[in-house]
Amino acid sequence: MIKANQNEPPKINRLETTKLIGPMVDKHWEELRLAKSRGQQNVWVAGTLYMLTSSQDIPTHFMAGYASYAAGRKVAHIYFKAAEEDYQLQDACSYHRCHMGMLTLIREGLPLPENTWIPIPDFSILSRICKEQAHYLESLSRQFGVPMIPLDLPRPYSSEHIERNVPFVEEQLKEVAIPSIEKLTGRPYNMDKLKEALVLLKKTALVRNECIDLMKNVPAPATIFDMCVSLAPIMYLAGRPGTLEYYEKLRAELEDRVGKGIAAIPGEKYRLYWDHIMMWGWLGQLSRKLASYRANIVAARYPYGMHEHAEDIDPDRPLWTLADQWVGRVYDMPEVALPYISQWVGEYRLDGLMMLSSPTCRLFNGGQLDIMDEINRKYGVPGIIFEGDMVDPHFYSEAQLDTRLEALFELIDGRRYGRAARSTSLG
Amino acid sequence: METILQKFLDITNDPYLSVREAKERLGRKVIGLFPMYIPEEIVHAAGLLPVQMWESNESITWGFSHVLSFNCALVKSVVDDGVKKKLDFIDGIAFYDTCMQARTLPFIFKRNIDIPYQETIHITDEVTNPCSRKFQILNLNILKESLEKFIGGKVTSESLEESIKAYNKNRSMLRRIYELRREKPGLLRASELASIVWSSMLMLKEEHNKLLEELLPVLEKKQMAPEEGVRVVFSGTNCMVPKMDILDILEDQGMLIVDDDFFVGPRYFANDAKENVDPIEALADRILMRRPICPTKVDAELNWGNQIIDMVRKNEAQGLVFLLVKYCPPLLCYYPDLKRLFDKADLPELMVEIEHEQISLESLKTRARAFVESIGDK
Repeated sequence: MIKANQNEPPKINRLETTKLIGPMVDKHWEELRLAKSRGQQNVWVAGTLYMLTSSQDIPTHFMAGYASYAAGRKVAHIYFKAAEEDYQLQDACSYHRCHMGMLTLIREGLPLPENTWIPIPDFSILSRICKEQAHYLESLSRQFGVPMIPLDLPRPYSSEHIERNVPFVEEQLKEVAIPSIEKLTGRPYNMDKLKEALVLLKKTALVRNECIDLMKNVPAPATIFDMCVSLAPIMYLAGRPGTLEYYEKLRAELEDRVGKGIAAIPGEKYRLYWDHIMMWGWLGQLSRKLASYRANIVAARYPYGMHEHAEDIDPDRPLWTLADQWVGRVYDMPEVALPYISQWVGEYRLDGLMMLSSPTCRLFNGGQLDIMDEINRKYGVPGIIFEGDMVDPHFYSEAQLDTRLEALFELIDGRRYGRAARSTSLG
Repeated sequence: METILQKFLDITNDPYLSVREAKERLGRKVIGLFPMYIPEEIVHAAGLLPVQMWESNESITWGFSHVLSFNCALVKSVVDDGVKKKLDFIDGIAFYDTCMQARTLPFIFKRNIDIPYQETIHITDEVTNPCSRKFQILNLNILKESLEKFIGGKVTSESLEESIKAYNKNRSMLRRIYELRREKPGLLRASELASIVWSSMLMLKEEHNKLLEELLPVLEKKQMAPEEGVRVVFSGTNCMVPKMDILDILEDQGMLIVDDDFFVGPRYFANDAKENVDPIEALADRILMRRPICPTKVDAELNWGNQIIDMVRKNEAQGLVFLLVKYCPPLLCYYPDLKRLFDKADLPELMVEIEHEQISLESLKTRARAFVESIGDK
């Protein structure tokens, strides 16, 4: 029977570099919160085209970033409660409810969590990968009259879809987004600033991708939790000062570990793949739980799918680059993700799959069962599926996860011993 | 009238059987369309029989190997039907990114369900975006070309124009039936009306038009006794066929249903496609119409709640029943904004959550009865 070692605390070698992230994201959200009092505009973005305004020095919100920040700062529950009292239903996206709860508190003049809330924006940009992301900006517009720039980022089902979708998005950026931003800010759009930000993003993402490559080492020098908390410098902090330096430090620390054979999880026994967005509110608990089994998650389509093709970032074609990176290069669609996950089985020497199925977030859920089936059939790598959420505690059962993890590790062990026995008898 | 009505009910009572029979009788291959906005006219003009995919009334079993339980009833059911081979009479299927759940159906179908023709196009929901029209036209042409490859022939402008005419005729007659119900509430039970509209989604339009031509004069002439019951309007259900037994139960508790804005209702037939213009452009323009307001379309300038309240007032209704499909993100996310508006307008509202597996009908009866009585007391 596989058992977590209950007598000893799980051993995790924490990284030094990731300690720098907290102050970076705090500063970002503080700038956004104080923008109005400093006479600056601020913008909310649903989806991934935050660089359109962040590159113009406009404090810019990013939906997923803020919800995970609120969960990390332990204030999301305040928003959920307010949302529920304002008719929000629990099956709706938890990121959506998190924002709607904050809007309720603002609208009703009720107390807001100090130092974490953000004010109503001057305008918003809809550039969603996930369709649910439209609804909170529409509601923001209905409730507070905030103008919205609606952009359509069609998802790809095949390379033919990418070929036609990318030019469509580029056209919208040129014909709709830029003129609308100019109108709403009252000043010309500075394309050079966007290009500069993309130059920095490219350098940063290339270094980040080297960090991801280092996760292929056995034992791995870091955990997926380290890679997830490090996401902001290539996402909503992309192109901002300090982001390249962050990843250079991280790379140096990981290289040092690899050189010295230092594992993030000492005695690493199981190497796992994670599917879905991270459970931001449970990072510590999940990392300790897995460490207690000497298991390490070393690969995930989220966050690895974000700018994994950074070499294609072309700062001289800034609008095409945004379209290409966010329409053609993200692994949200199962058709697109499956070949990568298949490739990662060997590259990362995966033993098993952990599929988070979130009842409120449908971005990665569709096709998860078929992905598990395919990887198991083709490569003999088993998987488990368990319920949880990125930020809402309502859907997560620790007992369910424990049971399924134990089943997963037993399966992995059974297959290992079976293989070993077969090779002995054949040998 | 009962005889004519029975013809519609026969189609919808067993859609699997009626579509299979129509296919054999007409010699037309069947193309399933995932609701709501892929233009049937293009499929019809290709000499095929377009049908809007529907929810079965069987428990989900094999489908749960491919979709998780917290998907909406339609998504779960279509996958379940597919893997159980209940859709083996379908020769092709076309999808679009209706919602986050429907988005992954093409992957699941390709991997598990053997259907000769499968296409996925983009139907834009950014109806106020000035770039949308050109891209919509491009995508409709992609659908047309892939159907041409499937049939091994051309879909001509003439055949498209003919299809549009047949569809516009159908839409205009369905609109008239709705008008008649508004004028003479109780003329048809809500489930009968839903059956009339739903059968249009399952039949060759020319044949449905003939049935409507038989039915309309009868409805026009029918005299109604003074109305009884509390006047209510219905909304919700999004892309699903409303459950007939739920409509019946609600009506039987003393509700007089005077109007709705269902997809299996006005959203299906409210707007005509323009005639005597480029037919593909006409169909793209129809998709981009902002009214009736639809929660799957992005339009921050319009408010669906106002449209529903207008429907209540125009019909002098006393209340609203909102059928909320469980796990339907557009409805889940829109509902709170609607509810606040209903409260502000002092509009009595009964929200009923709809799941694939049946909800407790007894408790629904009690809730509906209490709702009717509370309105009656006002």
